[in-house]
Amino acid sequence: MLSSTAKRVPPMPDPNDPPAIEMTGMNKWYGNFHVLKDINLTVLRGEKLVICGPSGSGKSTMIRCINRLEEHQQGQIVVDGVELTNDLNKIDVIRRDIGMVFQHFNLFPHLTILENLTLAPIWVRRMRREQAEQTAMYYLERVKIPDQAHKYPGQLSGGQQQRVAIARALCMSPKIMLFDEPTSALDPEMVKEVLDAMVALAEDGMTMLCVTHEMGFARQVADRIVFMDKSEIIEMNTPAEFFSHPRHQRSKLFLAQILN
Amino acid sequence: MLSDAKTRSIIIQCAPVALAAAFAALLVSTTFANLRARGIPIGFDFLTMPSRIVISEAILTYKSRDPYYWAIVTGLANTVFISAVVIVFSSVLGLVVGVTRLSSNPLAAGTCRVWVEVARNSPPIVLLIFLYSLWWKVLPPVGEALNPLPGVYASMRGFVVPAVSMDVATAGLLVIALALALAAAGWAAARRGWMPPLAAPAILAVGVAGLWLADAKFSVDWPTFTGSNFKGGKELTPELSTILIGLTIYTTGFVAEIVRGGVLSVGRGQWDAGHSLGLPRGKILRVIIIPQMLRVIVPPLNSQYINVVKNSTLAIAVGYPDFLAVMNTIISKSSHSIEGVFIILGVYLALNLSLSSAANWYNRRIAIVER
Repeated sequence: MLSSTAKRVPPMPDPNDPPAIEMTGMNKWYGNFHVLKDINLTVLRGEKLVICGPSGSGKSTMIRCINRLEEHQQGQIVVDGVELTNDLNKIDVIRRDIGMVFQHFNLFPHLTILENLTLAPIWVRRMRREQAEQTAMYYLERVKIPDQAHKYPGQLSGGQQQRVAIARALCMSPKIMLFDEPTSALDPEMVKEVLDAMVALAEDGMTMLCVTHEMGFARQVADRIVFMDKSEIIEMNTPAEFFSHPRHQRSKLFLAQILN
Repeated sequence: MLSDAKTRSIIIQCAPVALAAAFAALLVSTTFANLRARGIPIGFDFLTMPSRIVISEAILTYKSRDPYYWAIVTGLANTVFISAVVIVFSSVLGLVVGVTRLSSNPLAAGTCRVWVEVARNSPPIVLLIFLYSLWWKVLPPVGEALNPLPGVYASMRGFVVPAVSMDVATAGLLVIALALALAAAGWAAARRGWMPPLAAPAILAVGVAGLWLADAKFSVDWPTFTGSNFKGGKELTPELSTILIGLTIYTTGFVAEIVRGGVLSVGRGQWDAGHSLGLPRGKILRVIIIPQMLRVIVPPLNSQYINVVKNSTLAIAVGYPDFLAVMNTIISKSSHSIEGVFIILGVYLALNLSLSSAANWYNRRIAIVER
């Protein structure tokens, strides 16, 4: 697989660069439910973050705030130097530069794989169709399914669909990639092919935020692990530190549960 | 032998069929005997005889010297015309109203909600009679006709609009020119991925210029007021306008609800995926949500279209001669009631079955490909 055959050294994230994402004092409520409490998180360019924690802890909501699929009510989110406000133009600019992969793939079932991949480049980036198709084929080759280009999503396995979803996001040449439990809906034998595609992406130096419970992937790829519980960030550390010396009782409990 | 499962099931199925057939034979023979005893003729010969009935307005040309079958065709044409216009307009309006009901703008969503609730909760005949009675209360007499657009007049006597007439060759040329221009634009859009904003006016300009160059023979007949009435133009009577507007308002309510259900049936994940790719809301709606919604809404929509055909019989309430009204007159005039009722049943059955098979064909065509 890509990860074992071509081990490239990703450029180290440089703390002196302006950060890719900066969240300060971010709060969000669903009605009376305080779903995100005082989130402070800075993600450097090229950094890979794995976000883990029990279900309902706010992990998905937090990354969905980054491209405004959810609205935050308090605090600041700055993506690539642009602050997320109600300004629709800014939201569009930010969304164009952030790719997202979802738990349930969310491919467009009425379009072929190729059409899924070229839709946004053509309509948002105003790319010519031939050029968009070339880009699409390039990324389909990178996720190793160029032969499926003219099929429909319903004809592909879950693992293949998720790799298409990754390729679809990459076709917009994003600066940041968000992964929302990309392997949770997959059969066990398909998890590896998706993780391999993600590892390859990490080796290219993409800024990545992954909500996942794949601790092997976290060990291999993450620069930092963010542990969330009950709407808060409890602990943030390198994988080595987090797995061997979790500082919080709740982190210990979570690790004990997930690693057994 | 009676204990054999297969034999027994055949006997059980045959018995009711034989009974029903016997009952039908009894009905038919009694009817024929009774009709003959009273000297009432039966058969379809009357269709070719002159009808001498009056049809107050018609899409086709009809004179009272024409035979019965032409009167039937005229009534059918009126019904098909009403149904087609109402289906087209209520589909377009229903799409807009249904989508707007889901809008985050409370004023727009509320207005559409009022429309849907009024349309769905009032009997269509009440709506028609109400609209028809408005005609004389709201609109001015013909001498003071409202003139909202050049050449368009509205008064107690209905609408008058300019009539465009052209010969067949010109109409054909126009259609070909427009088709070519559209094809070129579509080709360009497929290549570039998007339609340049000036494409539509450009196509129209090309079409008009082409007609002018080809020295087209077409003329516009502008209505003029002569002191007592309008001369020229095309007239839309209050009766026809009422049935068209009333049924469109009514049906739009139902179509809007079907569309709303259709939009909601497409998962939120599709919106998320579209937004995350930076596609604007309207684009997501057009290329992602609506195509997927169609396969869900076509079957219930087809039921509404069938209802439109059936509701068109309410034209009788405002005195517009639709197919049923014409058939009623024919039956009372010719006294061929049994044949008439069979024609009525057969025609509505044929109309609605054609609608259904068209919908089924469309539904198969847009089905999502699964493994």
